[in-house]
Amino acid sequence: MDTPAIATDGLTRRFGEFVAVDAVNLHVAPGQFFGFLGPNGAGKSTTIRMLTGLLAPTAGRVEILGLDLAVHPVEVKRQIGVVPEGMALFGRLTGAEYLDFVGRMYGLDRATAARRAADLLDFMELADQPRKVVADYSHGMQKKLALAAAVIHGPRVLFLDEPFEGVDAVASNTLKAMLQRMIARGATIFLTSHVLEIVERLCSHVAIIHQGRLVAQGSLEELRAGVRGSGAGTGTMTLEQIFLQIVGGTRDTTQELSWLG
Amino acid sequence: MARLKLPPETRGQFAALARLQWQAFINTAFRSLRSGLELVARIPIAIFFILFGLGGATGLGVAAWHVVHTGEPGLLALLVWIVFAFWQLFPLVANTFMEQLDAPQLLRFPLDFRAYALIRVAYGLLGPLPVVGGLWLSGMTLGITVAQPGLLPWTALVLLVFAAFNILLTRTIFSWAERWLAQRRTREIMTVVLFLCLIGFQFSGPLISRLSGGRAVRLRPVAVEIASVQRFLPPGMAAEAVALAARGRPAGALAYAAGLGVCIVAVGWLLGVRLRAEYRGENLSEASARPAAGTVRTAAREGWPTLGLPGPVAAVLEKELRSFMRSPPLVFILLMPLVVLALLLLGTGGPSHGDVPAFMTHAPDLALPIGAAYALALLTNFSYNALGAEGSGVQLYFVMPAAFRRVALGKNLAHTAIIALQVLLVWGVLTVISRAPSAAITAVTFAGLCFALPLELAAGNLLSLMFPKKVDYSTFGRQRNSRVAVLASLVVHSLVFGLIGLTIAGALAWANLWASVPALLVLAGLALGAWALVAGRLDRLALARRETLIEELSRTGGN
Repeated sequence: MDTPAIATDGLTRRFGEFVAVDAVNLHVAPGQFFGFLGPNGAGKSTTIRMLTGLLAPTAGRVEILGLDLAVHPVEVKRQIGVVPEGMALFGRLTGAEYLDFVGRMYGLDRATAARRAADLLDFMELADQPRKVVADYSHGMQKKLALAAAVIHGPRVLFLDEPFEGVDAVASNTLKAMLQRMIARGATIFLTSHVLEIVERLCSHVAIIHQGRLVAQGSLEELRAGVRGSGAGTGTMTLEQIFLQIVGGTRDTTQELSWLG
Repeated sequence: MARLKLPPETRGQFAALARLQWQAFINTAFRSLRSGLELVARIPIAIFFILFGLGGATGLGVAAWHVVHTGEPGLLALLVWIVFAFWQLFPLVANTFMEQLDAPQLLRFPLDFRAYALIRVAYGLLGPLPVVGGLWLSGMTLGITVAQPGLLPWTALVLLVFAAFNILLTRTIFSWAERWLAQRRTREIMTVVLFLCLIGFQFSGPLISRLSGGRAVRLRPVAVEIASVQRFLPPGMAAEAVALAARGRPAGALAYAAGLGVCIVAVGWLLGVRLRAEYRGENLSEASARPAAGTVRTAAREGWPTLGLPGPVAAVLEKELRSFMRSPPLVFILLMPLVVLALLLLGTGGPSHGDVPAFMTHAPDLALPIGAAYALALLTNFSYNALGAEGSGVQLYFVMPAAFRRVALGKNLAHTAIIALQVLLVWGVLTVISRAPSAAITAVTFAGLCFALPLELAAGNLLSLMFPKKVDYSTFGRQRNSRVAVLASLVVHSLVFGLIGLTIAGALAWANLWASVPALLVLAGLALGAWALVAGRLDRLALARRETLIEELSRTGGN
């Protein structure tokens, strides 16, 4: 059996009395395009921050490519790429300078960092304004740059927190093309997103977290079968229907906010 | 009057902003209560400002009373100029206490231009600077009134107008400086203008000497010359308006008050030009225009040579220096020691020695250590909160495989390079336009820096992790560090400069300034050891503090 790309065992995070992530056991096989879903405040970002070393778990273990994150943090970080919440960009550098900076922080030599930065800027269609600093980029351009920075060192596992949020269709298409290219090369991608249509189209496997607990995990077919087994429906269910069924999002809003007209 | 009446919507907007400022103050106070050290740090700073404000008000009040009481109201000009100098120079040397609202944040609301301009001018009026300035002017009003009660309404009116002038002028200077430093071309022009001003100051001495008929320059005639000119500048006009009223010459008083009014209108117009540009949504980006379709491939341009440094250290060093040069407030900081140099040279009136006091004669020598100390003190504005400008970018340092101490080393090297450049600039400018500081002074300054810098950087590395505060170096007025960091910087400065002073005093007691050089170099060795000790613990500390750092620096909104 292959070593999982990502595995957690009883991963828990408390903030005082509040349990944000409660004994989560994730298993992501190498080469999977894995979607991690949940309503707002369910614990998605907290989980991804623990998986990438940005937040210490209160309990439990994280293994990336068979390496314990707590024991081998530097080795793990060499293998992963991250687009964290807020994108982690430096506003007063140009796109090329930022990518060059990130590449060198990952240990690439100057020539390689510069070459890959140029390749990525071209691919992401960010090369036409070389003197523009990141602070002057549009939101979509910043997203593309953040993704370019996350892959400049050729990671084997990529973590993306809401990569498509606020991105137009053209930019979104570019991002998807890059991610699919990475999957084709054998990389593993773990993403959180609220855009369920994109997750359904891209991801082969999905996990759903609700109120800090993992409530579903498996391939889309396995999830559909699970929901059907509970007697919810018979036809082909969309991911949105599965999601709403699992997290219970069926609220009657017809009588609320009547002043909106 | 009807035109001044604000529509209900605008009044509501003003009320909302006043409430915003109040809530921000209250929330900050409660946060301070929860974080004990921050509260402890705020208390002495608040006490300092209260004493500074009340002490200054008392001193100026007594002085104003004395000059009016003794029938020399003309000397009021000196007091008004002190207030003016404080009001305009304090924000330059301590912009961590300045408060300014982000224009784009305001522009998303349905504000008309008048409301926008009023808010931009009024926001931050309860900050330390206007409060201290207001207290000082109130003290003067009280002093003048005690000496001559009938002057109360006129003095209050004139000094109120003068306060308004100062507020407008501060806003105008900052908004224009921000605009001029935002782009490379204007930045270069401003540097050249500053350099020309420095040279101009240097010629003021010979010029005064020539005007006095080749005789040795005496301070009194110079003061008389200055006095005749200053009356036509805003602080002089304010003082003269009160002084002439005290002498019973209402027509003259009115004329000077009107002159002050004209100055307000002129400064207001200048500020209006900037605010209107902001209101229209100007873009000061340095990006070139988007080229036509069919873009060419980007040429692979390598980063700066690593100079033998490990890759991550070199990358951070390059990133810091690039960011620094693109941040108007930081470029301003780089130039500030030259402004201090200009003031010193202005004080000396050039290299002529005549019978000016000893301090003035030695100013070219004193300028180097003073410039170096000042540069170091300014540096702590950002080295004590070195991660503050990273925002959510700080997360990168924790997802990358580079040790945090390497990030700190890169930043420390960048700060060292900036200090070195500043001191070199001061030394070079002095050498070109006056004379080179003596070898002994140069050596003592260098040795003193070698001692002070590692200690300041070590303290900065610790405080940057312990008390991070999100700051924005893209515009003026949003660089408010943690109060703990501010207090700590004062303590460290006192220790460092105190030790250097003691060492130099000891050497002077032996009548040999050179003797302090080896002593300072020994201290520098110890300071480097302290820096290394702190650096060795940074990785563990950064890991322990990562959640607080990320939470504090990734938060949205102002600081």
